[in-house]
Amino acid sequence: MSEVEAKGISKYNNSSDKYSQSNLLDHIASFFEAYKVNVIVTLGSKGAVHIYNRDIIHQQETTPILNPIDPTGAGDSFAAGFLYGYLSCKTKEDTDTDSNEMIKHGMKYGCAVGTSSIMVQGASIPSERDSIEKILDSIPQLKESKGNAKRQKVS
Amino acid sequence: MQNSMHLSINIIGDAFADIYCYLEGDMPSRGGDARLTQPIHKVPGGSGLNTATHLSSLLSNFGVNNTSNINLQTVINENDEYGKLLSNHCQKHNIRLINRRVSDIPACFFGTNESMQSNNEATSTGHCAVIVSKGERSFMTHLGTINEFEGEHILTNFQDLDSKSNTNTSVRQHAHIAGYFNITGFWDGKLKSKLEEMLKANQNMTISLVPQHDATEHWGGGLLDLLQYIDF
Repeated sequence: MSEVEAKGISKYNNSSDKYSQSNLLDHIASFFEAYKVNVIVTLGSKGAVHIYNRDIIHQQETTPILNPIDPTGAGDSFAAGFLYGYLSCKTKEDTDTDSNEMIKHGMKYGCAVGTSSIMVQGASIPSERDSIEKILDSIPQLKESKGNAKRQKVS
Repeated sequence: MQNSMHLSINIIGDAFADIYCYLEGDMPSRGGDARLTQPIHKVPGGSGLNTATHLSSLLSNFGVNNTSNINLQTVINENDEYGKLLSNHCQKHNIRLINRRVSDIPACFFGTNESMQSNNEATSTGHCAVIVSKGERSFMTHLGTINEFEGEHILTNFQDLDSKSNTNTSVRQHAHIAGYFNITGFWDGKLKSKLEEMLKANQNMTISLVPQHDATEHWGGGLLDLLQYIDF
């Protein structure tokens, strides 16, 4: 989900003078803690974070694009990239692949496909393979967070 | 990927025709007029359709050694201009569009009995005016047939939908709910029982959900009750 959607669902009050992205993510993590669900929040040009069990598990930055053409549907292309990365990781070697590894792989592809899509006009026009590969090559290394929670729900 | 793996991806969500208007300057004042920089044009959109399109392209470009299929369960009026735009797009991008525009006769909720489809021509396929002004996008949406999409209309037996899988192939199934807040028919709790049904049929299935913006700004719709079935 996007930052705006996460704010809405978690009833974040952004009128507070104390607003910062860190406070927001802390609020989201706290809100979703009881639901034991992996929450992936997209942060626009800042990439995406994976939150689980009150911890920020991973943060994936993305390659900045100076002159985006059309941001419409970037969240949908992130979702497609995430699903591709996640599902292809799952089937790549064996069924015991750690679910956190699959989510990391998903976030990398999500950021690459989402970023690539904003350089194309039209939300339902897929990016060229070359464009996605260039971003995959240049995307910053994923940051591991302090949190060490393990995924429980995904088999 | 292993040769023996087949990915069955089932996207359940919204599809709209997006009608783009690029303004030269600001939005017109109330009752005013404004010039456009290019002709108005229509393109396929909606969270479910967009996700299915990008995923289909990724699987075809990167997923060399596996087979896969993508089903999109949505509701369109196949006979109107917007519905034709969406169904042609799905055909072009190898997405199997499963139009769940069914009547409210209980028997039609099983299988893919197309003969039971509702045929109310008065309801338009959902469409959305996208006004682009100085880089900002504003949306005005007519939900149309998306308003007819109910949780109980969802097909859960994906094996039956999957023509490419066979007994010698291991199948990985994933269901993705897209545009949740656009589909008010998903808010009454029946989607929850459908998710239970899916997981009962295949315990290894994974499920994801993208909420989308809630135009009502209530951000409720029973979403939190579904999270127990959602992986991400």
